Amino acid sequence: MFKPLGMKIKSILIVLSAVLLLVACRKNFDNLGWDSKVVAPIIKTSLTLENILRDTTKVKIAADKSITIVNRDSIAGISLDTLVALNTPAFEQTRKLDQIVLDERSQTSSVSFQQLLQSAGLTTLITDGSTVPFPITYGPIPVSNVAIDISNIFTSADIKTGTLELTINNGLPLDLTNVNLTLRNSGNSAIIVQRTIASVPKNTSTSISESLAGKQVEGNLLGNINLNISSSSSFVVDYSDQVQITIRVTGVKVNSATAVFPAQEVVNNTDVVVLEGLDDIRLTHATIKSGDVVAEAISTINDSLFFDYLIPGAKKNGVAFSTKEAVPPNGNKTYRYDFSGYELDLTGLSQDTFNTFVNQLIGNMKYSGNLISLSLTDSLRMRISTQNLTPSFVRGYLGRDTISLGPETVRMDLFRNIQNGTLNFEEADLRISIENGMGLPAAVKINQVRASNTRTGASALLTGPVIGVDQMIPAAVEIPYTTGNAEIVLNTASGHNTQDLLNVLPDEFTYQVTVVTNPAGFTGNMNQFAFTDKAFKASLDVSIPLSILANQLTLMDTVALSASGFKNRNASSGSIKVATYNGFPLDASVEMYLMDANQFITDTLSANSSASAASLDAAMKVKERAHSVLEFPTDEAAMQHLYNAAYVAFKVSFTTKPQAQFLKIYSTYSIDFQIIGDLQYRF
Amino acid sequence: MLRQLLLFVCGIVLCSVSLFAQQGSLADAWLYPDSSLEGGKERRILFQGDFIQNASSLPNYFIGQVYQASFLDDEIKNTAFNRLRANNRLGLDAQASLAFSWQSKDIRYSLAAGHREFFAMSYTDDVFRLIFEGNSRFAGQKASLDKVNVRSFNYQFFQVGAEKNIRDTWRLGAQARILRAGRGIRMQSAGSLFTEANGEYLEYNGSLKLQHTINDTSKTLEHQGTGFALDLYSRMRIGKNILELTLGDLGALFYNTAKTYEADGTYRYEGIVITDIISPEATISTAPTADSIIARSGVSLQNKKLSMRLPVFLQAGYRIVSTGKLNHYVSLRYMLGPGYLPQLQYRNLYRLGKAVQLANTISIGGFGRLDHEIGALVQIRKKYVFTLQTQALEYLIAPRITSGHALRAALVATF
Repeated sequence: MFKPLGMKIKSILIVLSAVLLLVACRKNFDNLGWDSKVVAPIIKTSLTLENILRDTTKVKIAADKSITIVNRDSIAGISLDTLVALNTPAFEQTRKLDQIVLDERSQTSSVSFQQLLQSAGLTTLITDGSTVPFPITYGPIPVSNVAIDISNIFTSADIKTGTLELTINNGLPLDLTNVNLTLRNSGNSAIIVQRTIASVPKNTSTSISESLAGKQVEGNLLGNINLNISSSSSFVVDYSDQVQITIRVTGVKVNSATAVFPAQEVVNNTDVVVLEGLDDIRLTHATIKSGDVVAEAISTINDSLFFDYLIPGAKKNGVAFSTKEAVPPNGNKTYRYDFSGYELDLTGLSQDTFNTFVNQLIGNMKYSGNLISLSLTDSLRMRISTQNLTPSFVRGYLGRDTISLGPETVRMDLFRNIQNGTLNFEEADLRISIENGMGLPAAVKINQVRASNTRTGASALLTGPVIGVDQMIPAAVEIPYTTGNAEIVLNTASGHNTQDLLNVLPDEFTYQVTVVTNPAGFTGNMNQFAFTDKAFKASLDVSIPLSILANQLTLMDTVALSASGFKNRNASSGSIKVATYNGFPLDASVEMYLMDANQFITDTLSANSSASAASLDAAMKVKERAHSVLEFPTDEAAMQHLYNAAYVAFKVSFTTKPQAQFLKIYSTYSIDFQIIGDLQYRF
Repeated sequence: MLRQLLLFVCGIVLCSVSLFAQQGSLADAWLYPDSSLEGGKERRILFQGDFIQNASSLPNYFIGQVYQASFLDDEIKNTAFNRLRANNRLGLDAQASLAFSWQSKDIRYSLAAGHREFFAMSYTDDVFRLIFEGNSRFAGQKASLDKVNVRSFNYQFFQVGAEKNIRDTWRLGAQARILRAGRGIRMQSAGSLFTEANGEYLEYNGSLKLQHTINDTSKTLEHQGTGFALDLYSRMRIGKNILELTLGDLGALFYNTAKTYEADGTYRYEGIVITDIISPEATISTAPTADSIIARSGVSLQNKKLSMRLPVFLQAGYRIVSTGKLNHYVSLRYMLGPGYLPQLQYRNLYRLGKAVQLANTISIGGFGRLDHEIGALVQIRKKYVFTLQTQALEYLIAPRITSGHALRAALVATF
């Protein structure tokens, strides 16, 4: 350890020696060396009880500087996840087209005066351009198979509702009377319209309406007309004069059709989803922490279908959950949406229920200009589901549940290092602290608590009035947020055998506890709540005022040695001394165990004396520190073991002095000590 | 072995020698024969090396073992302990140079370049025992660190010189050097080190100043600073005899930076303080270093400039010139170096034919006690002379109770 200092001295000698031969002859002086007996302090340190316990949070110091050791070990917890899982059933619906609408359109056909005279066989009598000087009445004149083409409206249609308006515009110089009109499909000859109009005076028009509901209408129609003509005066004959027949289709909705369809909404459906598996839990609200909404769409429609999927009751930053997607013609597609952060209203359509949310599906077609076939049997099949939905907050009635915790074992480090001997406490306190972070009441029943010392095998079972009896735990308050706290006291004063448990110096506690949520069941309170990060927690608290009686209480702790600390192995033998100024009322004897990397003990260094306890005054407080020097003889073999050691285990045995009396330990107590090397050292 | 011996001799020959002002150079007997003050008018090349090491208490055997890098066991250390006195000294001065001189009218000019190593130390017996026995023997006691004085340096130099007869009987000369400083160490301590009976603390009480340059040991000739030096000398003829007076090494070295430890008061070291030794994160991994111990003890440590005067020396020599075969030379030398005592030297030279002279020298004082040196001068073809002096006899006869080594060689060519 003193190599650098030795090197200074050595380097002076080397300088001196090197100069002996000046520059010509260089020599390796690595072998130059000598032995000296060096005694020097190596480490100086001071330990208070806080240092020894390592964790200041475990030390409570009273006004009189007396110390109480406090220890808290978490023993159980119930979180929101334990209580509530948001399982939604897959929401699947196949929606056929609600309606198929066709545009309002018209088509005009005409019959000329010449055509009419030819059908009557009068063209030889009444020639074009002539004047008929007298009144005439003639008829009936049949006009057959007048072609009426309405394929610009549809090529075929199974009409659900709709009206055909037929207008006859008389452009002749004669009146038309007893006009009998029949329209039929050119393909199957089915009659679409058959009506008689009493009179259509010259240069006027007359309309009739005919319902098309339930009719199969083709795009090519044939018209048969029987009519009479009459004139009350002379007239000039013009063959180009016409009778026009205009057909207008209005308000047509079809069951199926082949047509160029206009843009239209084909699906609009609102439905509810009810959460599954909640038993008696009644949720009105949930904030989604994580999870996805997945939509799978299948369309049988021969055109792209655009759909909106909405959950009006799911809002994020005030905006409802809404998606717009397109399904390809006769295709399918799957969509996934992040649902985290949404506030989900679970009160249904009328906001008067629970565990229910509303969703809406709207399907639209856009005008494409293409001739396609559509039928009301065409459909959009949607399957909406949620995946891995977890809430960060829920509100409602959170249900009555019985949760059994344990038997489970928790480690307690407080007495971890104690190897042997006895340690008695003048008093001790054990309690279970409960912090209910959820807005629902609960009842806790401690069924069993056992303290065990795994080293000695000793154990003790807790007995007392609390065992097996429900302890009511209040609910947390939401605004302002306050946990519902309760403490189950298990100390001697409350009739429990606490000291029996602590006297085994336990390093393990085994417990079995039952927690019942909403022990009174549903009382109409729908404002219970739970946050995912605010759990129902229980801790085992130990509080021990340090008034102790120790007899050969043996603690052991292991310190890792860094190999770099002993790179220089120049000390060969001698002794290691520990000088103590003991401010504790405890005698302490020390042994050191040198261990290899596998923690196998290679050597033991024992002192020939012990560190004496400090002397006490009449108030049993330390009056004066005691000075002792513990010497650990270290021969060459031991030094080698020390060099090779990966760990040193310090075994310290404490005995309170005077014996048979509880002594308080104060925070002002400390022990100063130095580690001193008194060693043969090779420079 | 032969190779080592060869290297040793080569080293000595390659090293050594300040020029004309060195005490008792045998070459002077040839350069300034009889009662001559100025010697011949020819040009000269002088290749010279001096190595002088001496100690008042470290025996030659101990020094030899150190040089051989041996493990110093109790038997070896005891040879030193047996000769220890309350106050002790140790010194080494070695130089190597190449010089050229020529006569112009009545002035002789010279140019020279070379390298010098110097180490001088005075110390108490407690210091030596502290180092070689350890402080355990001082448990519960104070070890005296009084009068510990160390000065060490090396440098390369370039020198110009001139000498001239002022009168027929009086010749004056001067040499000036500029120095390229390398290593520098200076330490002065007056105090004591107390070791608590159980070793619970070490307490230094007194004043201490240690300065050393931060050297890269892998480099032979480092440049850490500059310096200058001046030698003044005169030669006077008194009857047939010659009186020589020299004031040498008037100068100083100036180092750019040096690690400087300063203490004046009481300093206690109680170990490395670890505040939470049993923390799970704590591992015993940090070995104390000299600097950490010193810092923890409150000794100040800074980097400062270092200036160090050269060990000025004053030397008076009297050469008794006879017509016979035996000449005598007496000198007194004093150097302002740590522990150095005035050194009185007597040498006789015996002419063995025309080309050979033998020298026999006895000295007392300096860094050592009583020392003996033998030497020889050989002239070759009237133009060259080779001299060799060695203080090795006592080393060979009684290495455990004698101290001091010296080997000096010179090769002079005239043309």
